[in-house]
Amino acid sequence: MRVSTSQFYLRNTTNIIERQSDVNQSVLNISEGKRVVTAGDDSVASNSILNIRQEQALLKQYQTNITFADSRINVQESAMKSAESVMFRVKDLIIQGNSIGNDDSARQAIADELKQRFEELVSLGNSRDESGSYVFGGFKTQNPPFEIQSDSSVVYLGDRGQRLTNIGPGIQTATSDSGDKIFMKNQNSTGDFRPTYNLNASIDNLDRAILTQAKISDRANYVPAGTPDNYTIDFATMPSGDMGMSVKDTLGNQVYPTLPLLQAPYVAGDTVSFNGISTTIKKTPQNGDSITMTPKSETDMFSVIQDSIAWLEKPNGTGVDEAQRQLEVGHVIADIDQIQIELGGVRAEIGSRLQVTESQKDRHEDYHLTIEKSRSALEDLDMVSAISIFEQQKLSLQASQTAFSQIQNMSLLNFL
Amino acid sequence: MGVDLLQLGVSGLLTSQQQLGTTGHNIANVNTAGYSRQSVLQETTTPVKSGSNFTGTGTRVSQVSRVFDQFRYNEVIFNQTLNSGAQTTASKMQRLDDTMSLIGKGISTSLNDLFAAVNSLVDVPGDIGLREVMLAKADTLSKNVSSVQSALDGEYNSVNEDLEATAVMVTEIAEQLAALNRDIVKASANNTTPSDLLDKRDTLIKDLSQYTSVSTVATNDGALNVYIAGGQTLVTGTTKFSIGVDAGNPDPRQTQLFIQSPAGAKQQLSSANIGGSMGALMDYRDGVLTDTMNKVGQTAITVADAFNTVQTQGMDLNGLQGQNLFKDINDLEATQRRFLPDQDNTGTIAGVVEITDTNQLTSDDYSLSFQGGNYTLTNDNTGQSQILTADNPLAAVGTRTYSTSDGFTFKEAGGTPQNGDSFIIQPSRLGATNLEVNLTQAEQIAASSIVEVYSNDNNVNTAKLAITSVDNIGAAGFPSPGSKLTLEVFEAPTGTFNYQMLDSSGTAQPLFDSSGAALGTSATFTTSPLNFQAAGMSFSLTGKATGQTANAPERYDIEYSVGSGNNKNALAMASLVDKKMANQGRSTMNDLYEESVTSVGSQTATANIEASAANTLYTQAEARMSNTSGVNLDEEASNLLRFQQAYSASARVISTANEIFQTLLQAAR
Repeated sequence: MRVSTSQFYLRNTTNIIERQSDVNQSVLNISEGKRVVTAGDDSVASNSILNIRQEQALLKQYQTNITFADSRINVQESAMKSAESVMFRVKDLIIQGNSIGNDDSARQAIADELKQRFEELVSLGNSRDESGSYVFGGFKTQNPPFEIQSDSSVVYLGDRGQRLTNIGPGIQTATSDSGDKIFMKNQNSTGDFRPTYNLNASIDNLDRAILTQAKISDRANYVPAGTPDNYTIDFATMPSGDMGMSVKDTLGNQVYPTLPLLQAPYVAGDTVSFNGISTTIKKTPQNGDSITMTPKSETDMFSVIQDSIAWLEKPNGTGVDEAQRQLEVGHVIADIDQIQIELGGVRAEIGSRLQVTESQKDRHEDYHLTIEKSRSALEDLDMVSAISIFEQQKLSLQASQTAFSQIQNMSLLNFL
Repeated sequence: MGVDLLQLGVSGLLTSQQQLGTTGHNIANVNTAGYSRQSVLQETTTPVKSGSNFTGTGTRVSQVSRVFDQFRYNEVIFNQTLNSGAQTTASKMQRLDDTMSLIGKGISTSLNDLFAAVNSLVDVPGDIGLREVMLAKADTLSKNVSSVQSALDGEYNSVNEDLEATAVMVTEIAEQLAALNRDIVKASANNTTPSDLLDKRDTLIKDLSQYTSVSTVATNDGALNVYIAGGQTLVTGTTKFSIGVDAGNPDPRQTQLFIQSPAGAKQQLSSANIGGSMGALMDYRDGVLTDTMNKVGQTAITVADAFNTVQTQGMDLNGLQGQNLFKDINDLEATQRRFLPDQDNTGTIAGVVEITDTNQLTSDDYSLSFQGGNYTLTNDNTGQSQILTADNPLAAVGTRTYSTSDGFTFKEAGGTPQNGDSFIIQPSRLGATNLEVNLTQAEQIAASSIVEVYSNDNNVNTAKLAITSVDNIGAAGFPSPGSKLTLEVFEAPTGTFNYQMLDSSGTAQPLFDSSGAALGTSATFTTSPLNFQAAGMSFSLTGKATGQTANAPERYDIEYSVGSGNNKNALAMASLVDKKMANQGRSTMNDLYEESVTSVGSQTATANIEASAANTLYTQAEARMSNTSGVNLDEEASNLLRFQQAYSASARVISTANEIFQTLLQAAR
């Protein structure tokens, strides 16, 4: 075939340029360590690479959030742990105070320590994290959420807010609990009503009836008779000689037993229900005793400690007074027990949050590794094959150059 | 009559000289572009009859012609147009790919950085330093988006400039072709072939074929009529037309090519027929480049709208309801620039286009036409059209609004339309230029929610009440510090749920259904979820809130919740990252941008493959052409020897004639 001279040169030059361009691309890829530099290099792979990168950025963000969350949760957890031990100590002290005989100064010493514990608990409620935010203020983190009033009661100035954070796709975890929930909204140990006892002063017996539970068990049928919706339980010896009881609402209408019965026999430990409320009374009532139930479903840790202090500061009594004191201390201890159960519950909840963040963290790490493998396979260069290809290309460039330089010498004109 | 040996030798000598000269011309032009090698055709001169025999009288040059294969030449022209188009597309796509993949990386990165800043606000919502960081990151995002946008704008302008420059070039070629036609017609008058002029004309046609598709028709007098862009006359004989660029209509930036006759009549060139680099430039500009700008715009609009919407649902550190983080996507100027009326319209209607739902928004452009009292909206990309119905048909013409299913609303803004008027709607084209940070103070970031729902501890069901949006914090009954609302729900009779919204003093608040119709102060529903409005908020109650009769309904407190430690709104902002909020719930905001990168990438890959195929075809055609018409130096060297020897031989004939003559003279002495 006839080949024109310019075509001959053109073709050889093109050949060499193409080889050079291949070598250049190889050098670029090898120096970047990447197979795909722009989306145009491999648009299918590029789509996956971009998706994976975005996924990795998200995972990184979740990991950072988990680190933040863990530190918040741990700050709260340590405050909760201290609060729990304060409550243990309070219980120890009050039991100790109860076992002391007629020694007012010893009881005062215990009351003084309780006052310290009270302060400690308030300062725990006002814990701050490293950013200076109050941990238990709900959403109001700028000012101390707990404030002691002149009457030694504590008011909560925060709100019920609970902060959340994203720790995985569609997975959020709480990083705070409001002080309201932990310190201020403790379940009253007797349920939804709080008893006060009017004991027959003419009977000295220390063994008196105690209301251990008064709860609205059937809300659908609970209709308050008045405000406040108080109930009075009266005990009187029945004609049969057995102890009888009756319950009147705040308007004085009898709600138990059903009229025309005026009295029902008292059986210690039995559950007595009226108006959607169920009550449990234990031990032995005396003729003429009565118990008044006032609605109160919640108590707070601070007032429980204050109750303890007030109880300790009361002198030892005799007869009916002592019976009253024993009933009171029973309720205080029950309240402390209830608080400890609740604290345990919150701590368990916090623990489970930490478990969730931990498992999310592991999951993110695993997933990151998995998709990193795919990304690397799609985007990164296989160095061994890349270098061997580079060598081939170099060889072929050299060959083209050598061939060209040898052939271009051969011209008939040289022989003229 | 005998043989004139001297004359015979001289004829050979002259012919060889001519052949040597042509060989020299070939050698001299070995590197001349478009040169076709020439060859000398030799023929015998008329013989003389002596007796019954003819005797030869020598030789002469009959023709010096160029070696030229019209078929191969046409093949080169055709492939040149294809190849030039493909190369132009590929190089433009390569640049766009680099822009999107390398510069555009900044968009994804800065979007992620912004979310990282939002997440640290989730951790410490009241921290001014972190808020400053978030504002700075939002600003970086807007800068990155606008740097991509200005790269695309620059690209758009450079295409327009290329088109103008090419139009000038084509017009010049047309002038030269007309001049050459005149010269060739003159030179061909005596049935001669002006090879070098023909080469020149063919070279010009080849140049022209880079820019547009070319077809030619030769006339008998040697002139060549040239047609471009699928049959538009460029040169006929010595008459030349010119090519120019006009501002586009309705979009002035979308410039259009026209061809103009010497008399001044303009004819617009349709981009479908232009071909070559001009066609490729127009296709690129009106296709992938515009599409990419729209997609980046769609991303920007979606991002801005998402952040702005969440901002308005929260409260900032100054105790004010959140303002837009980014500039309002529907500020007046932006809405006006989305609507472009055709300059030839006879009506006077003006309009604005407001984006109402970024989830339904597309990256397409739309045409709007008015005929018979109705607007017809056509999606330029899918070709789907729909007749729009006014939302307020009773309003006066010029004040009607037309909502569409594509996430935007067209609003008339004065004037009256006339039959045949047409308009262009570009909802997302300029979105990226509008992404600017609106907030100036770190305190203005609304990290805190305004109200929160707390379920009562005594609730017996798992039904959940959620506030879907805060619509009016000034509404009567809206919660404030110390004054909450309580929703009470109970089932009675079975299957019917009763609900009412009580304020702190126990007064029932007026209820409205989700479309705003009043329901009174207590209402019932039978199917879950229940969507309703009350006290300036929209609510959604999911699950079965059966409660325990009217005595003990399920209760949900709605409390004012603003606080420096409230991170709920920041959390809602952080959760935008993986929310599929665009393309009918298929794409996250990052997906949107990635889709535009990938789309450019795959089109670049296609363009590269096409360019390489077109180049191979062109190179082969060129090689075939060159193999016929090109000069081969070895061949010329061998010709040089051949003709030199012929020359020597002819000289020898003359010297022989001389010797014979001398012999004769000596014999006669």
